[in-house]
Amino acid sequence: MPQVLSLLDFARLVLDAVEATESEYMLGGALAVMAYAEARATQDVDIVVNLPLDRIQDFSKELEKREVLIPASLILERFTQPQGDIPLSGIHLHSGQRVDIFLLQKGDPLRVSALTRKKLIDLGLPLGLVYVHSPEDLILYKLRYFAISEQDKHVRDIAALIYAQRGKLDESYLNSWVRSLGLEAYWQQLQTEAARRWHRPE
Amino acid sequence: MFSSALQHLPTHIWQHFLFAMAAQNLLVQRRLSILGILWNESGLTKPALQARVEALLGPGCFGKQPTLAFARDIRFLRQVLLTAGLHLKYHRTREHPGYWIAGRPALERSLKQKMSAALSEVSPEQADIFARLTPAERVWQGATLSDQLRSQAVRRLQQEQPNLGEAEAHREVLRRMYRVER
Repeated sequence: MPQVLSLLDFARLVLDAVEATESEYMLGGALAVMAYAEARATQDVDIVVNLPLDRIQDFSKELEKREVLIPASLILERFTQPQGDIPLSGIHLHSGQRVDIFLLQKGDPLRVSALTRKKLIDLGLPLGLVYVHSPEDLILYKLRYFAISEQDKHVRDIAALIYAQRGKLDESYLNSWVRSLGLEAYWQQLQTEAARRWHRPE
Repeated sequence: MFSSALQHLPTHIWQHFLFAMAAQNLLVQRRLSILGILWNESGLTKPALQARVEALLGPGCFGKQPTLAFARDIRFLRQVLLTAGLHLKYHRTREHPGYWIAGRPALERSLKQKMSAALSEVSPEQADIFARLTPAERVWQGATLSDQLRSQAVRRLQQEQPNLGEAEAHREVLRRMYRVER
């Protein structure tokens, strides 16, 4: 019988499992966008985890205790046979809430950089103080996902972040990564369009 | 030159021909996949690019000598891109390593329109209201909205199919939400 488990209670439950393994983490996706910009509906929780190999078994067990089944062998497989930036999806057995777990893997300098720049933010009960992607890294990932998938929601999120964080973004960090990811055309187009729409003469 | 005999062929015929060739030939599939990935995404290191291709075509798609096969693929694609006036390069800096295509054309018109439409959905007035809330308040609002939308979907489905129990309705909504095949 499905139980009612709110999105935030589920997110807390996943964070409890991550924190039990003392692994570095940061929330991403819609929850992170909400932290900086605007509230919007979402279907899942996205989290990046820097999981040491010797804690794979523990992490799987901690998730299992909370009725999210991701076998340790599957997690290990992601390290031995990396498939690019594809998350491990876990679904809560009784409520059906879903988490997408992105593991930090070798040869991913953007994610390493993003983890060093994560922000500790109070997201209120039941989450409390949690680590979240920086707004710049959220923008970079959203740009990258848009370039791959062309899904509108990513541009919508970037636009909301640009507007809400205007004057506060680290432009040099953004520009450096945009160049190195080959996303200049997307970024330039978004900035031009944003300036055209939101520029208000003094 | 046989190419002059093909110049009159429309692009979509070329495409279909290429897809048919690729379906029969793993080498063509692999090289097209690499090109497609590199076109969309710069900054992929060699292992990351190989992993991405294997995720698309399956493990072992680079054959018994993956390093050699990958090197040949890259050499081939570099030549193809060069013919089109583009350069496939590799950053070797520790901070931002990986492949990128220099001279890649700017965005297509349809993509620009898509971006413009998505941007127009952000209302400065609404965004200013959100800015007055704390991160916790925004997250609470968004999460509550998400929970309500899901409950509504379950109720709507039960109205459409009164025989469906709550557990079944819930499962069906999730199945549709995550696009799980029956």
